[in-house]
Amino acid sequence: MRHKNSGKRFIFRKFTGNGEVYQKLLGLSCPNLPLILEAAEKDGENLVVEEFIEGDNLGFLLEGALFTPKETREIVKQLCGALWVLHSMAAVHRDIKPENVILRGKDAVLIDFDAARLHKPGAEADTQVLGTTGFAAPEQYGLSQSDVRTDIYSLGVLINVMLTGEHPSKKLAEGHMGRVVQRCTQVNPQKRYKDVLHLMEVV
Amino acid sequence: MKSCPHCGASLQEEASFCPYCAQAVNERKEIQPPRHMPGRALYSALIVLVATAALALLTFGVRSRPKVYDNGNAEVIYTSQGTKYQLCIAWADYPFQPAHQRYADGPTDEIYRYPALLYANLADSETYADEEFLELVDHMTAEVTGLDEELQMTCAQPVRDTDYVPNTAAIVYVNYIATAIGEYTAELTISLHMKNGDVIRLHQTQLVEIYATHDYTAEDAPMDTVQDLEALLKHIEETVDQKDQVSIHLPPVTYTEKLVLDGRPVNLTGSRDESGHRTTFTDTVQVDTKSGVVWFFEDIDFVGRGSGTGLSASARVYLTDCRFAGWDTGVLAHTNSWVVAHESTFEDNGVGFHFNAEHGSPSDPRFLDDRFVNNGTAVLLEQVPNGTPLDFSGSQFEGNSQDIDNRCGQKLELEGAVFK
Repeated sequence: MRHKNSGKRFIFRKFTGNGEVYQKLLGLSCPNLPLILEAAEKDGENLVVEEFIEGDNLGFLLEGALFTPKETREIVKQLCGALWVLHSMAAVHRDIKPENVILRGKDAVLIDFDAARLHKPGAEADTQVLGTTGFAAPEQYGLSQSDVRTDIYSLGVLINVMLTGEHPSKKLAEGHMGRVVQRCTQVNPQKRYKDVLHLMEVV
Repeated sequence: MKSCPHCGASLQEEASFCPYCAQAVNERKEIQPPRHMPGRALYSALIVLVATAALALLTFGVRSRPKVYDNGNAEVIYTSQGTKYQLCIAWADYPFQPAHQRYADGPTDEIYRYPALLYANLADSETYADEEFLELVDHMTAEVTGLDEELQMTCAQPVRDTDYVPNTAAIVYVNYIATAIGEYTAELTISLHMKNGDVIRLHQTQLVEIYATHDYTAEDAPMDTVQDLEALLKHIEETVDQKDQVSIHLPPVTYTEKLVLDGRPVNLTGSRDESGHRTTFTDTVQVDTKSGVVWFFEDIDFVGRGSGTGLSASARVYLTDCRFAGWDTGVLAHTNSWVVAHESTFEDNGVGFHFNAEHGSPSDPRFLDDRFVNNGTAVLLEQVPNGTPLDFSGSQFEGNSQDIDNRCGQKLELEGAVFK
């Protein structure tokens, strides 16, 4: 949408679901994330006003050509930075894909947090089972939590797509970056990079 | 009300943005993501650090022992004889990542118990070092503090039990019961008293959310047909808080139409009439919800006619004493799913239990006391979303063409299973 008086452009989002992440981003600014200007929620319906990012998204750019390893590294390092901010506030983006990355000059900006949610360690793990089994043996539960490394997996796929145009299961990138992709996309989250800073370092 | 600092327009107190001049009006913290430090810069920083440390040592002398190590959270890095250890309270599937908070929920007046896991790792290499570290420890203690009046939480003293969770240095079992609905906070502290007199303290915040429970029986709402159930679920969706626990106690009728469950999770419990007939579904029950909350099914028969799927789940499902008979596939766990069955029967199906889920957080990895009888393939493991070993203790396999087709190579614990 365009502001009538100033002529400035903004993104206006309306979605159903959890808008906690937008609320948290209201108080922050980061070069690799859009500025969230206003976020309101009522009965699960969310309205968000955010900065309009001038640039092309990776999905569009990939239709024209693949990225070189150097370009890929530069973009991925910035995305790791954006994810570091989100993960630091206990949020998981959960929808990393080329269409959600916009190149604004030299800055890569990660957008669209509609699928993001705040990660509550253990919220999906154990006590639901306990709820109906009462005073059960401890070995019955408590072994897992929801996966905060989902974003690292998606980022691995994104790296591969930027370099090869294909999902890693079809065609894996060559060399060092291929090995990085392999580690990012391990089925067992424990075998992936521990966090985005590790990934940033190896990239 | 407040005024816009840019144009002076009158704004709501909580406004972050001025719609009149299109400027942000709230305070923001500017965050620069960390950048990778090139090797040369790192080397220079290291030199400065070493020089500073040497100067400090010359100035203040060697520090005196013993010392208390306490960061106020779930992680401490402790160095002994040149080895740097990471001590942390963590989850079993992220043993090198400290879990500073732990979230738990449940209804009132039920007793809960869960384990807090203490790990001792090598700080630089993500390697377990529990055995060598424990040689340095004299004893450990644990306590819970900061309790609310309505939350009764206790903890046992740390024990070592690597049969339960491998590679842990100790486990502390936390028990709690809450007497009122609400959100509560407590703090678990584990203290490690070292042989050299040092004390290491680790803290984990326990966040407990207690919700209300609602029970529905056939006296509360009609439950004779699938349409009745759909109407009841819609009513619950509209009137009951998402956080609350809902249990529906089904009458011993046979539901002949497909039931799609894609709203808020509930517990479905079947019943039995005087002739022994149980609540039965003869068409597919499809569970499709993205929430991480578990659906419970108990005491229900799923009876097919040789085709189709009895229960198709892309959600977390927990089955107790259910029976799946006469389907092409008895239970299919797919997409974002974790399904576990206890004391349940799978008989006369093409495939009794089919695990083919890409994602899904486990609720319980045990298939205890199940019966797999006369199936083409009793258990087909095509894709299991977590490396946690599946435990078939007490389960029986009899008359199946193939007992377990483990295509994805999932770790299995079959010691307690019976194959006839």
